[in-house]
Amino acid sequence: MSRVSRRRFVFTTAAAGSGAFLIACGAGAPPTNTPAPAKPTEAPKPAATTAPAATAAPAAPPTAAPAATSAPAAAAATKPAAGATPAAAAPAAAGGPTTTLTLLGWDYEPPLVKENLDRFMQQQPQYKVDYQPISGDYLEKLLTSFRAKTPMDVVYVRDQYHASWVESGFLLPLDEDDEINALYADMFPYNAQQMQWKGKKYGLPYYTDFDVLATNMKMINDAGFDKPPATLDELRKMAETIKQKKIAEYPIFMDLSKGSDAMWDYWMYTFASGGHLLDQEGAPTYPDKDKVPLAILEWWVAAANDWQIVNAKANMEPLPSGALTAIRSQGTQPGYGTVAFMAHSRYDLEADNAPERSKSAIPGKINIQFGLFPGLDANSPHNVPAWNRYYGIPMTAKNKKDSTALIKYLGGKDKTGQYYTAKRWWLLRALGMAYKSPWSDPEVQEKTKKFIADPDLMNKQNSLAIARDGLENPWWTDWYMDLQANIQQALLKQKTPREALQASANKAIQLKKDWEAKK
Amino acid sequence: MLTADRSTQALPARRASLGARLGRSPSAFAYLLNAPAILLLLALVAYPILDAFWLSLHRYNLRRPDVYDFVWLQNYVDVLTSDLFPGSLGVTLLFTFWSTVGVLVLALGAALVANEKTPEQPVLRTLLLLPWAMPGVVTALMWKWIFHPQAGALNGLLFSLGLIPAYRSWLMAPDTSYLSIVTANVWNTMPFSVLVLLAALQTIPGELYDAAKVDGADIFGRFRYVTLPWLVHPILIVLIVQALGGIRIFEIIYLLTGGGPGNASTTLGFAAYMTSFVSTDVGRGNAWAYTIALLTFAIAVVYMRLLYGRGDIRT
Repeated sequence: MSRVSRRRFVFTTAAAGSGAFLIACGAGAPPTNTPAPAKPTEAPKPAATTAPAATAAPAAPPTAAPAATSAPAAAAATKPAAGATPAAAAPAAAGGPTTTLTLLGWDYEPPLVKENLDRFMQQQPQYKVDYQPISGDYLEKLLTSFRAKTPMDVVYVRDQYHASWVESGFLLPLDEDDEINALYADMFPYNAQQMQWKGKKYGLPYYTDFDVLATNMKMINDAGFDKPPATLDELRKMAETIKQKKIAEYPIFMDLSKGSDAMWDYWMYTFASGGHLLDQEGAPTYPDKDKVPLAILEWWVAAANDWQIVNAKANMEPLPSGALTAIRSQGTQPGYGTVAFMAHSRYDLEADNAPERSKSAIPGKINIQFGLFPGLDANSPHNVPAWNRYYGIPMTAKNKKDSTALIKYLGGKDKTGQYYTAKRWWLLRALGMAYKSPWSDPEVQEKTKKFIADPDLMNKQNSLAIARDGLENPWWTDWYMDLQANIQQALLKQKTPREALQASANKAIQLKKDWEAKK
Repeated sequence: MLTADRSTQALPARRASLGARLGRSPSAFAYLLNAPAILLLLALVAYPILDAFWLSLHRYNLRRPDVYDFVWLQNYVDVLTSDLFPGSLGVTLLFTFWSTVGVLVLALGAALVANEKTPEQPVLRTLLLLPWAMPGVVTALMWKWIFHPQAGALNGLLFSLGLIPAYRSWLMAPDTSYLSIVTANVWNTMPFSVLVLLAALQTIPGELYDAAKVDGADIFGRFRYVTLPWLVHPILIVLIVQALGGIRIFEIIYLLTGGGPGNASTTLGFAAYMTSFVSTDVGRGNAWAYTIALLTFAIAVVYMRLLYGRGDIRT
């Protein structure tokens, strides 16, 4: 046997490695059963795959276990849906889906999402959904994919990204679809407006919510009050009484920390009193044009320093372990929280009132309630900041019609004509519905009454939800973080409220000017 | 049997030439063998560094991802002229200074104690190393709970001893915020310095102390004239490591204060993070990062010159 020299060994290994590398690089993508993309000029066909409710098979209830265990849904899986087109039904009869749709979203409750997608695939067996939950930096991941033109069929969109993604040409407008237009007519104005840009519609809602002033009823009852405060004067009076009676040392919790999604309380207090921070052009309205923001900050500074009803320094700390501890931790006795008032998302009310998740909950009672968010005076409009999450179709979608079928199921109605997904999220996780009509559904009402004392009040507050000002501006976060820093300095009395807001307004003007100069 | 010469002769001229070169040049052969690792490092380290620099020369904000303009050094000008820069530079330098001083003093004391031959020595050394075994994030979270304004151990201790009238916020009060974050950082980074100094202490010949005693030196004299001269080099190493670590500090600020109150604890590293990941201004964020890198480099050069000057490092 001949010996192999070191040199020959190196050459042979390098050649083999290079060959393997070239083969690996040259290998194409794994074959899929995805059909060729539709012609770009092909118009979407509205409602082609959606059956009228009367002709469809009954759906599984939204809170049922995965649809595979549900008899009607299982039956639906074995035959083409009633309204399916022959073209769509044929491959299903052949035993397998013909179109794979990719759905990208942040990783909220992936098992529940998968269960719901299973039901979609049973209702419309021509589709297979490849769901890719993304943990961590959703924005960065999506932008990378958009820029790389990675094929995606449906994506989750946050209201903060909406304007920039549309302006960048990442999302498809959906106005040509009559069924989608009809769905928009049933939405709350805020939600319908949020998913549009320059008159065009870009999605269907995933969920929506707004903030409420959660109020511990036992604490205010023991202080001698019978309903949540309607004005900031009432809030102060209740808080001071609670403090005097030693029910809680600092009765009000405010999120005063810094972060792009922090200090929502300033929006709440300002909106509820009819104020705004930025106008339509993105110019600051404070401290003089609109006097509400200054009045609110002065109230805050007094609440923290003079009345001592807010522990401002403690509330400024970042809260990695969750901001809801204050309202749910037991205070000086059962049924008390460590605070009596706290602004937070409506959907958190359910856990607030669940004894297994909240030590201030009282079994059999709705102890944490809310009223319309209190304003500076009795005529305040009680607006609250809201947010919207929706399903959009990227420009890179293989086939707009197929993607539309999926977003109609997720963000609109299923084949039985129900707002199945929206209702399911409300029933399972109390995520708000952007549509008006499902709120009158008996099952929805029954669930609502379990943790919200007055569903009519909730609907009223829902109708008063508005978007935060100026989210579409690219400099928004810089401005907002600077505003937060100034508010913290005012609370620590390092600046007067006016100085703090004037400094923030100057910053906003400068940022706007800088960005416009760079255009 | 194949020999190297015969195989070379059998190859075409060009390949033979390459093979011959490799055979004759040990360094070329070494490069060839190291090529995979070098390529990997280039791909995973050099490329991101260069790409970050390239990004820092562009206007690129993820809120307007369609805009990607080459703006030369404008992002650096924006950083250096921003309201935040002087304050965050001051905070960073002050934080670095006090952290370095704190670590040096405490680590030196701890190393001297740990160097004493006592029955408790092994336990003491283990305890001194414990903070080093904890990730920075865990340390920060632990200190967050220690400083908690309503349920913190520090409040509990001081209140029960009657030293404070009521529980208070340590992290967001202007008078204690700074001290709190420096304390957390010193606790976390001290063990490495203890190790370095302890190792140096153990190399000092005992005869020198005996001679000093004979010469009448007391304990302070022995420290001043024997211990300290032997520790100059490791102390400089500690200073370099602590200073460079202090300039890059991030997780303690992020978790304990969020840069607040106001911008009172916003360091350069935290400002870079906020710009890149909160404001999503990737171009300017990378300019912040390179500014920090340049500052770190400058300080490293100063330290190296100090060491060169002492003749401790030779080229």
